[in-house]
Amino acid sequence: MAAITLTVNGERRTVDVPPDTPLLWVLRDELQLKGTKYSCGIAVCGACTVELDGAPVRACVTPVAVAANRKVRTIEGLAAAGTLHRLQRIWITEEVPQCGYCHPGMLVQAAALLDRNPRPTDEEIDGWMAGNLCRCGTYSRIRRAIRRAAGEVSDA
Amino acid sequence: MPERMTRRAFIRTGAEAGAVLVVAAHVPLDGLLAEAPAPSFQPVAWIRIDTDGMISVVIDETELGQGVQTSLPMIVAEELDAEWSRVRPAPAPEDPSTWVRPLATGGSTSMRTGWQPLRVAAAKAREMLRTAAAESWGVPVTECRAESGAIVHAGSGRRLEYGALVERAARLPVPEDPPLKPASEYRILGSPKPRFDTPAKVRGEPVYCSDLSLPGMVVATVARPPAFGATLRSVDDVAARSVAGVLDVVRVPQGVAVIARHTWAALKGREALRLEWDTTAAAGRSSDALHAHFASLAHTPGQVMRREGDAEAAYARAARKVEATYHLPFMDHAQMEPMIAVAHVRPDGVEVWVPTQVATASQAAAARVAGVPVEKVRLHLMMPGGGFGRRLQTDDVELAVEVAKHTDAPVQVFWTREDSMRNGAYRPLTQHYLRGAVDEGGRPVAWLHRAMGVGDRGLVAAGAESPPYALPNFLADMHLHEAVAPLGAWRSVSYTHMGFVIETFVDELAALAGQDPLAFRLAHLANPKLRSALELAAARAGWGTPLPAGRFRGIAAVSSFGSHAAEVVELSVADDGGITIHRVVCAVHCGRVINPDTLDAQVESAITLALGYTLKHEITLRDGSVEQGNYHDYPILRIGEMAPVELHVVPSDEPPTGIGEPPVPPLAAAVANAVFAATGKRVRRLPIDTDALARG
Repeated sequence: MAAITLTVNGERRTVDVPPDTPLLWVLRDELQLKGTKYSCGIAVCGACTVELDGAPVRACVTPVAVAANRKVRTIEGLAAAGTLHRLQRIWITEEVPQCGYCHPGMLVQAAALLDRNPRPTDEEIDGWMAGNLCRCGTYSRIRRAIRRAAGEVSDA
Repeated sequence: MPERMTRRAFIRTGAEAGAVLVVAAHVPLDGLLAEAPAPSFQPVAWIRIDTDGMISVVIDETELGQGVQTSLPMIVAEELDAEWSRVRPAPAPEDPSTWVRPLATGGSTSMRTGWQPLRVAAAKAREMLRTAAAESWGVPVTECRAESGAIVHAGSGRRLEYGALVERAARLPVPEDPPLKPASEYRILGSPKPRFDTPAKVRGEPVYCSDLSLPGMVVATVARPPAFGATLRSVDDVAARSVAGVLDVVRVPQGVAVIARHTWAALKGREALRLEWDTTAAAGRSSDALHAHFASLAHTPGQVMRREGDAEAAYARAARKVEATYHLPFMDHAQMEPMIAVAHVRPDGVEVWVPTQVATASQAAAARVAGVPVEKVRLHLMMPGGGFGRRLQTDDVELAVEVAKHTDAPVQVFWTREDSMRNGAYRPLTQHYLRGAVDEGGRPVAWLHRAMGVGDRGLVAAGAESPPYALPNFLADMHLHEAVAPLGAWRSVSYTHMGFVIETFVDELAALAGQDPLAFRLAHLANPKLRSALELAAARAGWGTPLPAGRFRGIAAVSSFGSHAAEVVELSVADDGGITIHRVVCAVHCGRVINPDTLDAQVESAITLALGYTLKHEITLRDGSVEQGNYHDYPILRIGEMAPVELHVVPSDEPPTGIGEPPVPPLAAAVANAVFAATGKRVRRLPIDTDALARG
């Protein structure tokens, strides 16, 4: 079995696993990055969302071979050098999470949105975030926090 | 239970809480207890104050996302006059059997049952600190008051921080009946405080049981019967054992466990199992068969819950009458983190990590399964990724201990989404037959409610006996069918269906009476608290005022779990029957509000869950098999489907009564009543069949 090398949160990592192992389990069990969550395993809930070369993907259905020699960013990598991403900061001040389990996926998905669309409308937010489920019902706070984060940049 | 805990007992319950105690835990205790100065002050089980002034509050409820880890310390901080910045939560006791009360989080009881004990506990601590300061200054206690984390002497302005009083206070007797702070002096309660658990969750730190990583830990998956009642006939594990990473395959009462080095290997190993099941006993356990069974009982008197007058006779002679049958399905909780637990069975005892709502019962269950005394089980209470009542069961920890008995290593028993959805603790399937009538004056004269369902009275029928209206000639009875699948409490339990049935049927009586649904309710509603919520919701929703074309309103009000909630829903129905919810106005009476931000979040949470079962999902059983398995065939609400919620709170100084569940029950009825206003069609089945609402 050939080793697979990928960059995770800026660090080159090498893993020795079957190439069809989902990236989710490589992150969680091999690399001990527990932030990315399992919830459905079939890419319908978004809890496992990570960024692959800047695009959000569902790690539960992404074979690690697909990530070979590419850049992965997880929730742990959202903060840069110890400073929280502004979405994370606002997520805290707005008290967005309840149980919190869906929020790593939510935050990675939301960060990808703001990278592409700095001032999304509510409809654009709902469309982009539609694949991220929250059972606790934090949706209105997610929308509000994304709008606030968008506003923060444009106010600068 | 003596309130003055010994240092040994304290360390057993509070060992993780701070550096002082971790050090102390390694110090041999024998012979030291009498001599060693207490490094902290813990006059009551819940509260410990250290010499640095930090105040630790033991959280003996599970933090489900409902904010108890913050709200409970707020109660303490207020009564103790603490500086909020010095207050922090401490973990639940690792031996729940020694705690002052059972650890069980559910029934919307955390604030209601924590309010008085925590206030009294904090008041005791405060009084002891006052006494300690007074003694050290040689002044009367009456001249000393608590203020912002210190005791202050009125006359001289002298001030001692709590931390400086710890050693002296620890030597004092605990007062029996301390005075409680008047509400007029509250500074903390009623204002939002940042939640302690939020930053770790936002950073993606490993806070969940599924994130636990222990030295030598292995992961197991368990192949369960494909249908309730099925039994294992044969196992061929040769292929499974040869999957890379698989360590062992073992039989447990619940099925066949594959133990592996990591999750993917455990999953692949389970896939490779060749199992044969005997499904004879599962046959016939079907949703359709159950509904047919209950339909055959609709006109057969059941076990009487409450009877007044003669409902049958009054119905028979009434001029204006209506009868209706309601069908409600099984439901899964579908919480985002599937069921999970970690267990380690060792010769010296058992250690479990479980995101449970019932720590005391889980410890007892683990002990029973392991065959050890309860005190040999150490339980680490984890924060679940959602509870909603699912984690009131102990099947998670029982399964983990069963598997752990087969290995020396700690075992994480991993449930997939399909495992969780197909081995749930379902809200039971129910069917309701109702008859109601009004007289010429539009007054209710007969009400008969036959509640039928799978399971016990609490899950199926509770609430049928007490609709909040004055109803002469009343009969509520029930037919209960034995459980054909595992059942449990789903956020608001029987009120998930009772609220829908009663509040839509009341609307039907109002229509018979030719009256407005709000006016009809107000004319016959006795409970003043429910009334206040109903009036507030109606007023804020503009009930009775014109709506834009195509928009319609529905209203409902339900008392449950000690609180009272009324909702007005505004919606539109498209030509194809599709429903768009524009607005939900919710008014609640829940006593004093502890943390208004948490209250707001809880109400949105309850309404989100309720919209899901009103519009989207159901569990169906066919010959013992759950036909759904994941979020694609059991869809929950998405962000774009969530309606704006406006929350209004009836002001109250009464003790808090809880908010987790009460906003759930009215929602489905308010939606159904609005759908009737929009279409003229009655909704008596959930989730709503929108095709049936299509025009033409």
